[in-house]
Amino acid sequence: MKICITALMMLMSFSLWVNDGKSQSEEGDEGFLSGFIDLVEENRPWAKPIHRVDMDRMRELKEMGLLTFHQASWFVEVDPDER
Amino acid sequence: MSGRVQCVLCPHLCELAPGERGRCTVRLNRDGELVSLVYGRPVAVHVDPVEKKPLFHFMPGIDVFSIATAGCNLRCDFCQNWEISQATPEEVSPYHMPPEAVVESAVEYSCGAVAYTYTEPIVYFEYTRDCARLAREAGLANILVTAGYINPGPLAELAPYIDAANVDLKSMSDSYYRNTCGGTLQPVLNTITALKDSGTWVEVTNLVVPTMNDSDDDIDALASWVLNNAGAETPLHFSRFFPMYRMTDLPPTPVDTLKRARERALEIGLHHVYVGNAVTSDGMMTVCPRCGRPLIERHGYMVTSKRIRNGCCDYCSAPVAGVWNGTEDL
Repeated sequence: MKICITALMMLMSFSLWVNDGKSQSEEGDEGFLSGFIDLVEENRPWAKPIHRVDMDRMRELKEMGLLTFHQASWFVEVDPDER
Repeated sequence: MSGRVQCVLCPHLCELAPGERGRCTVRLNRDGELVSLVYGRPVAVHVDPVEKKPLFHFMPGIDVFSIATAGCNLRCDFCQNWEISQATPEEVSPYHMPPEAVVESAVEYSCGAVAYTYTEPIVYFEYTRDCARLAREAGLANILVTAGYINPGPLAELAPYIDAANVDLKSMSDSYYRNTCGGTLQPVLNTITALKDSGTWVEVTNLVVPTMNDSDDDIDALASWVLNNAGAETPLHFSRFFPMYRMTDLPPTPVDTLKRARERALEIGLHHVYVGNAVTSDGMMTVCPRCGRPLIERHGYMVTSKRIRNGCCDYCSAPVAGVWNGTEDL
């Protein structure tokens, strides 16, 4: 238990060092835990984050002609069983 | 299947659940299919002189029909076009301009080329590709102005349609790319060499940011890489930074810094080195790599004289690298 807490504290400290506030400003005001989760799940904290959108809003904008849902090239389907 | 997709357009390789969009903000997983949110929806449409791209050795004097959508797959703190590059598509008011309309307009305005520029044409890949195909059929050249953060496969698909490219090489430091730009260095270097190998005319731009990438070591490393990997004949543009976006606490690049960078790059062996976004006495002049005499003089982006005949210096007949569009003097 002591080792787990120590490791967690070290990783959280590393998270603070890596995330210098510039990329975090795009993610909003995140606490230590979410920063730690980001670090574990995402090895590019310096890039823009991947966003989830409001699909209803997207469809609305598409209907207004401001967006498109044009089929994109260069992607693959991901099978979770292969990860 | 999970409905998850992985975009393989650029080195970010964003893996997206349904309803998520990639780091570029313009590619979305809609129910297990990746879609572009900006196809045919440019937010910037202008006619520019080709010199503004900047391209100094490609069809000097022509007008270029220039377009851009919102979005970019980098997030440079110093971005000079951040209002559209760092915007999401729902934050801007685009035009409705399918590829056919782009080419028709380019012809209507007597442009010699279409440029995919201002933001990052890689993120509006399908629109760039389809416009470029039609432009080629219409006898227009295609110009790509890009940061080069793209994977080899998509680049190989696009490159055959691209006649000229200006690639931003922001630094030779990978940590600069990671910390300041949200990307990595190597894919950009690969893009420059791949475009050269494909026969595309390439010019390179470096935005010189005070205290960030303006040291002698930075300049020397960058100029040396261009020399050794793209060739001495590859034009290099040192461009002046102005405080912008998330880097408003730095001053504009001193003109002397740009002059020094140019001098060092010429000493290293590059034939054609220019200064951009700043007024200098000779920083925008093309000179013969052999005899040193002025070949193309420019006043701002306007070509005021040209002394190149059949791709050679009018004085000593040395070949001058570039894609030239006529031999008469201006």
